[in-house]
Amino acid sequence: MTVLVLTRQLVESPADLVVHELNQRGVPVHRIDPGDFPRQVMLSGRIGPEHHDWTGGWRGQHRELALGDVTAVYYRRPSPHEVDPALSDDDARWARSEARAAFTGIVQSMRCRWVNHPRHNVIADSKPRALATAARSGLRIPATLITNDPREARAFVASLPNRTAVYKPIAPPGQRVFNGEKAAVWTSPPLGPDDLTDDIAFTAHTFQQWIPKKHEVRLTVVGGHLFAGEIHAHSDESRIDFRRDYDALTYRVCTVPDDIRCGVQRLMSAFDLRYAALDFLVDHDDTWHLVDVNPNGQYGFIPELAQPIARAIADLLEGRMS
Amino acid sequence: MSTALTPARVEGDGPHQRPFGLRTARPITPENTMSVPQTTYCPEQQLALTDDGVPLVTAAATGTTYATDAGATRRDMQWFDDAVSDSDVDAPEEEE
Repeated sequence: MTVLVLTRQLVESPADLVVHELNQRGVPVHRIDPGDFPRQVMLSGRIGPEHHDWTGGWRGQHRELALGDVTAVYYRRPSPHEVDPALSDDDARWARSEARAAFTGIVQSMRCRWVNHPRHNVIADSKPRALATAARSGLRIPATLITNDPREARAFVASLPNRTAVYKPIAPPGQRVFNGEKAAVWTSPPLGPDDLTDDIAFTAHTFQQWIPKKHEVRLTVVGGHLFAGEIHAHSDESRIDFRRDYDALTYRVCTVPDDIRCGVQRLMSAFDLRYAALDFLVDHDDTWHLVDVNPNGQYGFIPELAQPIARAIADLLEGRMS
Repeated sequence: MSTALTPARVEGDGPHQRPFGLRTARPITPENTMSVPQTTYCPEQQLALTDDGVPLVTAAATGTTYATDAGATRRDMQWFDDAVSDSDVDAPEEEE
Protein backbone atom coordinates (compact mmCIF):
# COMPACT_ATOMS: atom_id res chain seq x y z
CA MET A 1 0.00 0.00 0.00
CA THR A 2 1.36 3.38 -1.02
CA VAL A 3 -0.36 6.75 -1.19
CA LEU A 4 0.88 8.70 -4.18
CA VAL A 5 0.85 12.46 -3.69
CA LEU A 6 1.07 14.40 -6.94
CA THR A 7 2.02 17.93 -5.98
CA ARG A 8 4.84 20.41 -5.88
CA GLN A 9 7.87 19.37 -3.91
CA LEU A 10 8.29 22.39 -1.68
CA VAL A 11 5.66 24.14 0.38
CA GLU A 12 2.20 23.25 -0.81
CA SER A 13 0.47 23.62 2.49
CA PRO A 14 -2.65 21.46 1.94
CA ALA A 15 -0.53 18.64 0.54
CA ASP A 16 2.10 19.13 3.25
CA LEU A 17 -0.54 18.73 5.94
CA VAL A 18 -1.77 15.49 4.40
CA VAL A 19 1.75 14.10 3.94
CA HIS A 20 2.55 14.99 7.55
CA GLU A 21 -0.60 13.26 8.77
CA LEU A 22 0.13 10.12 6.72
CA ASN A 23 3.73 10.11 7.99
CA GLN A 24 2.48 10.22 11.56
CA ARG A 25 0.23 7.24 10.86
CA GLY A 26 3.08 5.28 9.32
CA VAL A 27 1.33 5.08 5.94
CA PRO A 28 3.80 4.74 3.05
CA VAL A 29 3.74 7.95 1.00
CA HIS A 30 5.39 8.70 -2.30
CA ARG A 31 5.42 12.37 -3.17
CA ILE A 32 6.23 13.39 -6.69
CA ASP A 33 5.82 16.53 -8.74
CA PRO A 34 4.85 15.68 -12.31
CA GLY A 35 6.77 18.82 -13.22
CA ASP A 36 9.97 16.87 -12.49
CA PHE A 37 9.24 14.55 -15.42
CA PRO A 38 11.12 14.19 -17.74
CA ARG A 39 14.06 16.24 -16.47
CA GLN A 40 14.53 14.67 -13.03
CA VAL A 41 12.38 11.56 -13.06
CA MET A 42 12.71 8.44 -15.21
CA LEU A 43 9.36 6.89 -16.07
CA SER A 44 8.88 3.48 -17.66
CA GLY A 45 5.52 1.78 -18.18
CA ARG A 46 4.75 -1.53 -19.88
CA ILE A 47 1.51 -3.09 -20.97
CA GLY A 48 0.75 -6.08 -23.19
CA PRO A 49 -1.55 -9.00 -23.78
CA GLU A 50 -0.68 -10.56 -20.42
CA HIS A 51 -1.42 -7.38 -18.42
CA HIS A 52 -4.55 -5.31 -18.01
CA ASP A 53 -2.78 -2.51 -16.18
CA TRP A 54 0.39 -0.56 -16.75
CA THR A 55 3.35 -2.00 -14.89
CA GLY A 56 6.65 -0.32 -14.20
CA GLY A 57 7.22 2.85 -12.29
CA TRP A 58 9.48 5.78 -11.90
CA ARG A 59 12.86 6.48 -10.48
CA GLY A 60 13.48 9.86 -8.98
CA GLN A 61 16.27 11.66 -7.22
CA HIS A 62 15.26 10.34 -3.82
CA ARG A 63 13.19 7.18 -4.27
CA GLU A 64 11.53 4.76 -6.64
CA LEU A 65 7.93 3.68 -6.98
CA ALA A 66 6.28 0.68 -8.62
CA LEU A 67 2.94 1.58 -10.17
CA GLY A 68 1.36 -1.59 -8.80
CA ASP A 69 1.98 -0.49 -5.21
CA VAL A 70 -0.22 2.60 -5.48
CA THR A 71 -3.55 2.29 -3.70
CA ALA A 72 -4.57 5.95 -3.61
CA VAL A 73 -3.63 9.24 -5.24
CA TYR A 74 -3.87 12.74 -3.76
CA TYR A 75 -3.82 15.26 -6.59
CA ARG A 76 -2.94 18.72 -5.44
CA ARG A 77 -1.70 21.44 -7.78
CA PRO A 78 1.31 19.84 -9.43
CA SER A 79 3.68 21.87 -11.59
CA PRO A 80 3.71 21.80 -15.38
CA HIS A 81 6.21 19.40 -16.97
CA GLU A 82 9.69 20.83 -17.39
CA VAL A 83 11.93 19.85 -20.25
CA ASP A 84 15.61 20.38 -20.97
CA PRO A 85 16.31 24.08 -21.60
CA ALA A 86 18.69 23.08 -24.37
CA LEU A 87 15.69 22.34 -26.58
CA SER A 88 14.38 24.95 -28.99
CA ASP A 89 10.98 26.46 -28.19
CA ASP A 90 9.21 24.34 -30.78
CA ASP A 91 10.98 21.16 -29.71
CA ALA A 92 10.34 21.95 -26.04
CA ARG A 93 6.63 22.40 -26.72
CA TRP A 94 6.50 19.00 -28.43
CA ALA A 95 8.57 17.35 -25.69
CA ARG A 96 6.30 18.80 -22.99
CA SER A 97 3.24 17.62 -24.83
CA GLU A 98 4.64 14.08 -25.14
CA ALA A 99 5.73 14.01 -21.50
CA ARG A 100 2.36 15.21 -20.36
CA ALA A 101 0.44 12.74 -22.49
CA ALA A 102 2.59 9.85 -21.24
CA PHE A 103 2.60 10.76 -17.57
CA THR A 104 -1.06 11.63 -17.29
CA GLY A 105 -2.14 8.74 -19.45
CA ILE A 106 -0.30 6.12 -17.40
CA VAL A 107 -1.06 7.64 -14.00
CA GLN A 108 -4.71 8.28 -14.72
CA SER A 109 -5.25 4.73 -15.89
CA MET A 110 -4.32 3.40 -12.45
CA ARG A 111 -7.28 1.72 -10.76
CA CYS A 112 -7.15 3.24 -7.31
CA ARG A 113 -8.79 5.81 -5.08
CA TRP A 114 -8.33 9.43 -6.23
CA VAL A 115 -8.80 12.62 -4.26
CA ASN A 116 -9.86 13.97 -6.71
CA HIS A 117 -9.41 12.49 -10.11
CA PRO A 118 -8.26 15.44 -12.27
CA ARG A 119 -10.89 14.66 -14.86
CA HIS A 120 -13.61 15.15 -12.27
CA ASN A 121 -11.97 18.38 -11.14
CA VAL A 122 -12.05 19.69 -14.69
CA ILE A 123 -15.76 19.08 -15.01
CA ALA A 124 -16.60 20.63 -11.65
CA ASP A 125 -14.29 23.58 -12.24
CA SER A 126 -16.52 24.94 -15.00
CA LYS A 127 -18.52 27.70 -13.34
CA PRO A 128 -21.52 27.52 -15.68
CA ARG A 129 -21.66 23.74 -15.21
CA ALA A 130 -21.22 24.05 -11.44
CA LEU A 131 -24.09 26.54 -11.13
CA ALA A 132 -26.41 24.32 -13.17
CA THR A 133 -25.46 21.21 -11.21
CA ALA A 134 -25.86 23.02 -7.90
CA ALA A 135 -29.33 24.22 -8.84
CA ARG A 136 -30.33 20.70 -9.91
CA SER A 137 -28.95 19.43 -6.60
CA GLY A 138 -31.40 21.60 -4.69
CA LEU A 139 -28.96 24.34 -3.68
CA ARG A 140 -29.98 27.97 -4.01
CA ILE A 141 -27.85 30.01 -6.42
CA PRO A 142 -27.98 33.74 -7.21
CA ALA A 143 -29.63 34.89 -10.44
CA THR A 144 -26.84 34.80 -13.01
CA LEU A 145 -26.40 36.03 -16.58
CA ILE A 146 -23.55 35.12 -18.93
CA THR A 147 -23.55 37.27 -22.04
CA ASN A 148 -21.56 39.43 -24.42
CA ASP A 149 -24.66 41.53 -25.18
CA PRO A 150 -24.48 44.89 -23.34
CA ARG A 151 -28.23 45.51 -23.71
CA GLU A 152 -29.03 42.11 -22.26
CA ALA A 153 -26.67 42.79 -19.37
CA ARG A 154 -28.25 46.16 -18.55
CA ALA A 155 -31.74 44.68 -18.73
CA PHE A 156 -30.74 41.82 -16.43
CA VAL A 157 -29.26 44.11 -13.79
CA ALA A 158 -32.27 46.45 -14.01
CA SER A 159 -34.57 43.50 -13.33
CA LEU A 160 -32.85 42.48 -10.09
CA PRO A 161 -34.42 43.35 -6.71
CA ASN A 162 -31.85 46.05 -5.86
CA ARG A 163 -30.96 46.76 -9.52
CA THR A 164 -27.48 45.67 -8.47
CA ALA A 165 -25.17 42.90 -9.64
CA VAL A 166 -21.52 41.95 -9.44
CA TYR A 167 -19.24 41.03 -12.30
CA LYS A 168 -17.03 37.96 -11.89
CA PRO A 169 -14.74 36.13 -14.30
CA ILE A 170 -15.79 32.75 -15.61
CA ALA A 171 -12.47 31.00 -16.08
CA PRO A 172 -10.07 30.11 -13.25
CA PRO A 173 -7.62 31.13 -11.93
CA GLY A 174 -8.18 34.59 -10.48
CA GLN A 175 -4.74 35.98 -11.22
CA ARG A 176 -3.48 36.95 -14.64
CA VAL A 177 -0.67 39.01 -16.06
CA PHE A 178 -1.68 42.26 -17.72
CA ASN A 179 0.95 44.46 -19.33
CA GLY A 180 3.60 42.38 -17.62
CA GLU A 181 2.20 42.85 -14.12
CA LYS A 182 0.30 40.39 -11.95
CA ALA A 183 -3.28 41.35 -11.33
CA ALA A 184 -6.41 39.62 -10.18
CA VAL A 185 -9.91 39.84 -11.54
CA TRP A 186 -12.13 39.04 -8.60
CA THR A 187 -15.72 39.82 -7.82
CA SER A 188 -16.40 43.46 -8.68
CA PRO A 189 -18.02 46.02 -6.43
CA PRO A 190 -21.81 46.22 -6.88
CA LEU A 191 -22.79 47.54 -10.32
CA GLY A 192 -25.96 49.20 -11.53
CA PRO A 193 -27.28 49.11 -15.11
CA ASP A 194 -25.67 52.45 -15.92
CA ASP A 195 -22.23 51.16 -14.93
CA LEU A 196 -22.21 48.62 -17.75
CA THR A 197 -20.44 49.68 -20.94
CA ASP A 198 -20.50 48.36 -24.49
CA ASP A 199 -17.08 46.79 -23.80
CA ILE A 200 -19.06 43.79 -22.59
CA ALA A 201 -19.30 42.84 -26.27
CA PHE A 202 -15.58 41.97 -26.38
CA THR A 203 -16.09 38.60 -24.67
CA ALA A 204 -18.33 36.58 -22.36
CA HIS A 205 -19.13 38.29 -19.05
CA THR A 206 -20.84 36.90 -15.96
CA PHE A 207 -23.16 39.08 -13.91
CA GLN A 208 -24.64 37.79 -10.71
CA GLN A 209 -27.28 39.19 -8.40
CA TRP A 210 -25.76 41.15 -5.52
CA ILE A 211 -26.73 39.38 -2.30
CA PRO A 212 -26.48 41.54 0.84
CA LYS A 213 -24.84 39.08 3.21
CA LYS A 214 -24.32 38.56 6.90
CA HIS A 215 -21.22 36.56 6.22
CA GLU A 216 -19.78 33.92 3.89
CA VAL A 217 -19.26 30.25 4.60
CA ARG A 218 -16.40 28.12 3.27
CA LEU A 219 -17.75 24.59 3.37
CA THR A 220 -15.10 21.94 2.84
CA VAL A 221 -16.37 18.50 1.97
CA VAL A 222 -14.24 15.38 2.46
CA GLY A 223 -16.07 12.17 1.64
CA GLY A 224 -19.23 12.30 3.73
CA HIS A 225 -17.81 14.81 6.21
CA LEU A 226 -18.58 18.51 6.10
CA PHE A 227 -16.38 21.19 7.67
CA ALA A 228 -17.94 24.64 7.69
CA GLY A 229 -16.45 27.96 8.73
CA GLU A 230 -18.08 31.36 8.69
CA ILE A 231 -15.96 34.09 7.14
CA HIS A 232 -16.74 37.49 8.61
CA ALA A 233 -15.56 40.50 6.64
CA HIS A 234 -14.70 43.68 8.50
CA SER A 235 -13.76 46.04 5.66
CA ASP A 236 -15.56 47.35 2.60
CA GLU A 237 -13.13 45.56 0.31
CA SER A 238 -13.47 42.18 1.97
CA ARG A 239 -17.26 42.48 2.02
CA ILE A 240 -17.18 42.51 -1.79
CA ASP A 241 -14.80 39.56 -2.08
CA PHE A 242 -12.94 38.20 0.92
CA ARG A 243 -9.81 37.65 -1.20
CA ARG A 244 -9.46 41.42 -1.52
CA ASP A 245 -8.48 41.98 2.13
CA TYR A 246 -7.42 38.97 4.18
CA ASP A 247 -6.35 41.09 7.11
CA ALA A 248 -9.97 42.13 7.67
CA LEU A 249 -11.32 38.59 8.08
CA THR A 250 -12.24 36.55 11.11
CA TYR A 251 -13.56 32.99 11.20
CA ARG A 252 -15.92 30.86 13.21
CA VAL A 253 -16.65 27.17 12.88
CA CYS A 254 -20.37 26.63 12.21
CA THR A 255 -22.94 23.93 11.55
CA VAL A 256 -24.57 23.15 8.22
CA PRO A 257 -28.36 23.20 7.78
CA ASP A 258 -29.83 19.84 6.80
CA ASP A 259 -31.14 21.04 3.41
CA ILE A 260 -27.71 22.36 2.49
CA ARG A 261 -26.11 19.13 3.65
CA CYS A 262 -28.43 17.09 1.40
CA GLY A 263 -27.88 19.40 -1.59
CA VAL A 264 -24.12 19.29 -1.16
CA GLN A 265 -24.12 15.50 -1.04
CA ARG A 266 -26.09 15.42 -4.31
CA LEU A 267 -23.67 17.92 -5.85
CA MET A 268 -20.62 15.88 -4.81
CA SER A 269 -22.21 12.75 -6.20
CA ALA A 270 -23.13 14.43 -9.48
CA PHE A 271 -19.52 15.54 -9.99
CA ASP A 272 -18.04 12.32 -8.58
CA LEU A 273 -15.90 14.35 -6.18
CA ARG A 274 -14.44 13.14 -2.89
CA TYR A 275 -13.19 16.62 -1.96
CA ALA A 276 -14.47 20.14 -2.64
CA ALA A 277 -14.43 23.58 -1.07
CA LEU A 278 -17.74 25.38 -1.58
CA ASP A 279 -18.41 29.07 -1.02
CA PHE A 280 -21.78 30.29 0.21
CA LEU A 281 -23.18 33.73 0.92
CA VAL A 282 -25.49 33.73 3.94
CA ASP A 283 -28.04 36.54 3.74
CA HIS A 284 -29.84 38.30 6.58
CA ASP A 285 -32.64 35.70 6.48
CA ASP A 286 -30.03 32.96 7.01
CA THR A 287 -30.54 31.64 3.48
CA TRP A 288 -27.42 30.04 2.03
CA HIS A 289 -26.60 30.96 -1.61
CA LEU A 290 -23.96 28.86 -3.34
CA VAL A 291 -21.60 31.06 -5.36
CA ASP A 292 -18.54 28.94 -6.02
CA VAL A 293 -17.48 25.30 -6.34
CA ASN A 294 -13.72 24.75 -5.90
CA PRO A 295 -12.94 21.09 -6.54
CA ASN A 296 -9.37 21.61 -5.38
CA GLY A 297 -9.74 24.63 -3.12
CA GLN A 298 -7.49 25.60 -0.24
CA TYR A 299 -8.54 24.34 3.15
CA GLY A 300 -5.91 25.54 5.59
CA PHE A 301 -7.03 29.09 6.07
CA ILE A 302 -9.56 28.46 8.84
CA PRO A 303 -7.11 27.41 11.51
CA GLU A 304 -9.49 25.36 13.62
CA LEU A 305 -10.44 23.25 10.60
CA ALA A 306 -7.07 22.68 8.92
CA GLN A 307 -6.02 19.67 10.98
CA PRO A 308 -9.43 17.92 11.03
CA ILE A 309 -9.69 18.32 7.25
CA ALA A 310 -6.17 16.95 6.74
CA ARG A 311 -7.06 13.98 8.94
CA ALA A 312 -10.24 13.35 6.93
CA ILE A 313 -8.33 13.46 3.64
CA ALA A 314 -5.81 11.01 5.10
CA ASP A 315 -8.72 8.76 6.12
CA LEU A 316 -9.98 8.82 2.56
CA LEU A 317 -6.57 8.02 1.12
CA GLU A 318 -5.97 5.28 3.63
CA GLY A 319 -9.33 3.71 2.84
CA ARG A 320 -10.81 4.31 6.30
CA MET A 321 -13.58 6.42 4.75
CA SER A 322 -15.44 5.96 1.47
CA MET B 1 8.75 41.03 -5.92
CA SER B 2 7.12 43.51 -8.22
CA THR B 3 7.37 47.25 -7.80
CA ALA B 4 4.47 49.35 -6.63
CA LEU B 5 1.47 48.85 -8.84
CA THR B 6 -1.47 51.03 -9.48
CA PRO B 7 -4.70 50.29 -11.29
CA ALA B 8 -3.47 52.63 -14.00
CA ARG B 9 -0.42 50.45 -14.57
CA VAL B 10 -2.56 47.37 -14.84
CA GLU B 11 -4.67 49.09 -17.44
CA GLY B 12 -1.43 50.05 -19.19
CA ASP B 13 -0.72 52.27 -22.13
CA GLY B 14 -2.19 49.99 -24.76
CA PRO B 15 -5.45 50.33 -26.66
CA HIS B 16 -8.15 51.99 -24.61
CA GLN B 17 -10.77 49.48 -25.63
CA ARG B 18 -10.67 46.46 -23.36
CA PRO B 19 -13.20 43.87 -22.21
CA PHE B 20 -15.41 45.29 -19.50
CA GLY B 21 -14.31 42.67 -16.98
CA LEU B 22 -10.67 43.71 -17.22
CA ARG B 23 -11.63 47.18 -16.03
CA THR B 24 -12.15 45.54 -12.64
CA ALA B 25 -8.64 44.00 -12.51
CA ARG B 26 -6.75 44.86 -9.37
CA PRO B 27 -2.97 44.80 -9.06
CA ILE B 28 -1.36 42.27 -6.76
CA THR B 29 0.53 44.73 -4.64
CA PRO B 30 3.70 43.96 -2.70
CA GLU B 31 1.70 44.48 0.48
CA ASN B 32 -0.50 41.51 -0.22
CA THR B 33 2.06 39.31 -1.91
CA MET B 34 3.83 36.96 0.48
CA SER B 35 7.24 35.42 -0.03
CA VAL B 36 7.81 31.76 0.62
CA PRO B 37 10.12 31.22 3.60
CA GLN B 38 13.50 29.54 3.22
CA THR B 39 13.03 25.78 3.39
CA THR B 40 14.83 22.61 2.47
CA TYR B 41 13.18 19.46 1.23
CA CYS B 42 13.50 16.38 3.45
CA PRO B 43 13.44 13.25 1.26
CA GLU B 44 12.57 11.01 4.21
CA GLN B 45 9.60 13.00 5.44
CA GLN B 46 8.83 14.31 1.93
CA LEU B 47 8.13 17.69 3.46
CA ALA B 48 9.67 21.12 3.47
CA LEU B 49 11.62 21.82 6.64
CA THR B 50 12.47 25.18 8.12
CA ASP B 51 16.04 26.14 8.97
CA ASP B 52 15.40 24.63 12.40
CA GLY B 53 14.48 21.25 10.90
CA VAL B 54 10.79 21.61 11.73
CA PRO B 55 8.22 20.57 9.11
CA LEU B 56 6.86 23.81 7.75
CA VAL B 57 3.29 22.65 8.34
CA THR B 58 3.86 22.62 12.07
CA ALA B 59 6.14 25.63 12.28
CA ALA B 60 4.68 28.48 14.30
CA ALA B 61 4.94 30.97 11.47
CA THR B 62 2.71 29.11 9.04
CA GLY B 63 -0.97 29.34 8.40
CA THR B 64 -1.60 25.84 9.55
CA THR B 65 -1.17 26.20 13.26
CA TYR B 66 -4.21 26.61 15.44
CA ALA B 67 -3.81 30.29 16.17
CA THR B 68 -5.95 32.58 14.03
CA ASP B 69 -3.69 35.03 12.33
CA ALA B 70 -4.60 37.18 9.38
CA GLY B 71 -1.13 37.00 7.88
CA ALA B 72 -1.27 33.24 8.03
CA THR B 73 -4.52 33.28 6.12
CA ARG B 74 -3.00 35.42 3.47
CA ARG B 75 -0.02 33.10 3.16
CA ASP B 76 -2.18 30.05 2.83
CA MET B 77 -4.37 31.59 0.19
CA GLN B 78 -1.75 33.40 -1.85
CA TRP B 79 1.45 31.45 -1.92
CA PHE B 80 0.18 29.45 -4.81
CA ASP B 81 -2.87 31.31 -5.98
CA ASP B 82 -1.18 31.66 -9.32
CA ALA B 83 -1.41 30.48 -12.86
CA VAL B 84 -0.73 26.83 -12.15
CA SER B 85 -3.69 24.66 -12.91
CA ASP B 86 -5.74 23.92 -9.87
CA SER B 87 -7.61 21.11 -11.37
CA ASP B 88 -6.29 19.62 -14.42
CA VAL B 89 -3.76 17.58 -16.20
CA ASP B 90 -6.18 17.38 -19.10
CA ALA B 91 -6.29 21.10 -19.80
CA PRO B 92 -4.39 22.50 -22.75
CA GLU B 93 -0.75 23.16 -21.96
CA GLU B 94 -1.26 26.88 -22.42
CA GLU B 95 -3.68 26.90 -19.50
CA GLU B 96 -1.06 25.75 -17.00
